[in-house]
Amino acid sequence: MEWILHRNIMAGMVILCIVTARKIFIYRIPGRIWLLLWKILMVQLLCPFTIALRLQNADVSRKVAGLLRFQEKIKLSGNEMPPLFAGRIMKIIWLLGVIVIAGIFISSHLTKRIVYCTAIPVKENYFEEWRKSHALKRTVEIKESDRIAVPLTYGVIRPVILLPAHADIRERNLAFVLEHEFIHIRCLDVLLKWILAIICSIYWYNPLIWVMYNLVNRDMELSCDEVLLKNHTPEYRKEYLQVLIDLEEKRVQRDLLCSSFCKYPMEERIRVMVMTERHRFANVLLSLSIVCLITILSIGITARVQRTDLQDESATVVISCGEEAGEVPYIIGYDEKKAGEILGEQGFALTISQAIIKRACISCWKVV
Amino acid sequence: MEKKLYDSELKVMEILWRQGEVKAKNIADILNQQIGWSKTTTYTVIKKCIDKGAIERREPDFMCHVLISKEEAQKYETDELIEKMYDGHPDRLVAALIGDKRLDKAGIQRLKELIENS
Repeated sequence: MEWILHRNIMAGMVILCIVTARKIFIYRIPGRIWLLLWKILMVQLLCPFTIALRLQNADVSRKVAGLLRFQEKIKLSGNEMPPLFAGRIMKIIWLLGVIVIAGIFISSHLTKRIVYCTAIPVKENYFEEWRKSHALKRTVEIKESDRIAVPLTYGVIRPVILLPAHADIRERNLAFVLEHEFIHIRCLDVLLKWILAIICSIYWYNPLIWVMYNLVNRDMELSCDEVLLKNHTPEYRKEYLQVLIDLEEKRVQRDLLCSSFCKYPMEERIRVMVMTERHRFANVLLSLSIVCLITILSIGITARVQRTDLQDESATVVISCGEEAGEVPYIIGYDEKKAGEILGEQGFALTISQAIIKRACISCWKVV
Repeated sequence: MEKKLYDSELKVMEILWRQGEVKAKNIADILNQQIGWSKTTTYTVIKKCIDKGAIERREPDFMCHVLISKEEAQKYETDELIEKMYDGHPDRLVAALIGDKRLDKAGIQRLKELIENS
């Protein structure tokens, strides 16, 4: 369980970085980039492995190594936590928290789902044509319900767009609404929400995770707006803005696992759409550097840097299968024979997939 | 019945109004064909109708017996519409319908006869 605690220090740092960068650069960096940063972080948070990087002190990797070693120092100081945190009671509290939070996510979604299931499929030709022009590998259903006030979409494998019945919105704004929800479906935003829910259930005790939760949802909407407006005229944008402002009045009950048309801070969305400077070289460069920075920092969540005494040229990646002393590290390298030599009698070389499977089995066994 | 019937519940009620007493299972089959609802969904909606006093469950076989007639349900909806949108004045609703050109000559004639006979 210790690895979960250690990650939080790093994860907190990365979240704070992204939050600060977002505050400063929100009008210069597109929403898709923010979402990408969050996804990079989420992958690291979900990864149950610790990757030990053996880096040579070559010119190219020195800075990276330096950065990671700096993070390592922070982590090691985190190692000196009082024994209380390693205790059984903490583990039980953590597990209870996971169950409660996961329970809240799931039950809140299920109760809403029961209502959504009573929706009635729409029959007009308009929708048939729309569906033909927006074909996906998955079939998208469009239904209407008089129990919702604002359009939403749910379902990952069989996505459903739910429209409010008998509402003004359907006549005027239908095209925008369908387009918006379709983009959510195409970008698998609903799946992302599920993954986010899982992460928040595991790291529930870290307050910054909830900051991340809030921001990911907002960035999903920003990114969706962006994709929607991408190749359209300013008039189209004006109309879309009008739709958003109109819908701002209709507030839907909180549903944690559906993408809803306009739940998240509308003002921020509108500002971003109006004030974003597009396609300037400086902004592109900025985006690139932030993505690189966050990627490297995020690796610090799962990576532990080991000192390298190696003189050989090839960099090898060691997946260490546990923090406990005496556990055998597995080395994956370009040259398996070399890797075997390096480890000597301590371990043996495996392919990446073999190592992953082995690690997963060990984790499951430990939990049991 | 005091509560409003939602669209989903009206779908179930329509079947019962058309066909009289029907087994819940049959309702589920019909609705599955018509609008793709799963059995669970239909049973949930039937239960809601029972809670609202619109349907009565009779054994054996979970026969659904309708407790409100279609006219009663229509009256409820109309009353609510008049209260909500026309400040409780039915004549304004009628005026709206006429002004909207929703009533054809035959419809207006029928209205006139109704008024004269009431």
